[in-house]
Amino acid sequence: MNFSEIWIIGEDEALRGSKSRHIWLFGGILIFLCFVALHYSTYIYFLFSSSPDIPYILISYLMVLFLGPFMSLITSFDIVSSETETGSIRYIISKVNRSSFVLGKFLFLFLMFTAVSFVIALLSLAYEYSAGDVFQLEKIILFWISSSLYLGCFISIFLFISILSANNKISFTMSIIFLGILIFFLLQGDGNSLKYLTPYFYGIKNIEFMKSLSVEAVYPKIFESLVSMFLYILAFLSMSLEAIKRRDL
Amino acid sequence: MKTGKLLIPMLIGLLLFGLFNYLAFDPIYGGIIDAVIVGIVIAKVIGKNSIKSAFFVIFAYNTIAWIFLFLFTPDGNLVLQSEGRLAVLFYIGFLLLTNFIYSIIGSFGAFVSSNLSN
Repeated sequence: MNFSEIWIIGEDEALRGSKSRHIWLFGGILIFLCFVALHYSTYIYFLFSSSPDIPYILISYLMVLFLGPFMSLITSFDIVSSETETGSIRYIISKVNRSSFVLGKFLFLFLMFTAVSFVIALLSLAYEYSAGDVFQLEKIILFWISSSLYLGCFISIFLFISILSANNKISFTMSIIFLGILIFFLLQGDGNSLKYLTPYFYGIKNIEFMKSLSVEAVYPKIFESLVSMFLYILAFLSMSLEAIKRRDL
Repeated sequence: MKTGKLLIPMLIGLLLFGLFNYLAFDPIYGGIIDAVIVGIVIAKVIGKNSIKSAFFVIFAYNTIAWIFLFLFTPDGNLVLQSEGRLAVLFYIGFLLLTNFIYSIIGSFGAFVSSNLSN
């Protein structure tokens, strides 16, 4: 693993890869949908009647929670499988380490989605400010970090599936199937331990912190949730690195 | 030849199903663990393109096991002899749907295992 190689792969994806336009497009769609939800939030205010003001950050977070997995699926299912399908991966891995190749791809997608979450966080902040609400910097930072990690979990999952797939068709089908399996695990209820295997659980757990008036009171729980998501990403990235080493490309 | 190779994973699946049932293991955990193990075994036996085979084998052994449970256990007989036909049909439909989900999970296990074993 070489950091300069990782950076080169990430930079190449961002600046020259045809994929980057595709990713910016879907990232833009996610931002636009969040903007629409914030703009018309007065129509859905009845859903949050317990809150004294319109909870703009919570609305944005819910949008990311429900739409984020699909957006990350669309953008990351073919990140490696398209290279495997065309055979271009052989030229790349003859010049750079396989681990650097995977980490570079992950870094690119993760930074893209971190930027998207940042824009959504700014939008929420602007709406809160214009509504004359109390300025809650902690909540905005919490929103940004937890959204980025939540989307990072899905990126690492789809990256792993993309590495295992021989072409885009298989990668897309398997990604959809895995998303379905995760939803099935989540639907088993609160008493079932299968929920810990899904990023949805950690994402949903953070809703409680977004709702609470004082974030400081629940700092240990927030930290625990964020570390869980980080470990989830690490687990899938490790599996991806193991998979790319064992794959016959 | 390929069908003959699938007999061993199917028997392993049936044995594990019986074992989990005997130990009164949670049916959801048992079903998932069973499906994943059978998926991995099928991937080892067949190699590439084992996803479809895994799906059919897991669906088949789950269906066979439930038929056995309905026919040869007192609880199963109680369900079949009950008056509420609609409830029984609903229950069987639910079981088929669960089998379908386990088959999907197992075929995903076969997909991962077959691609990692190269």
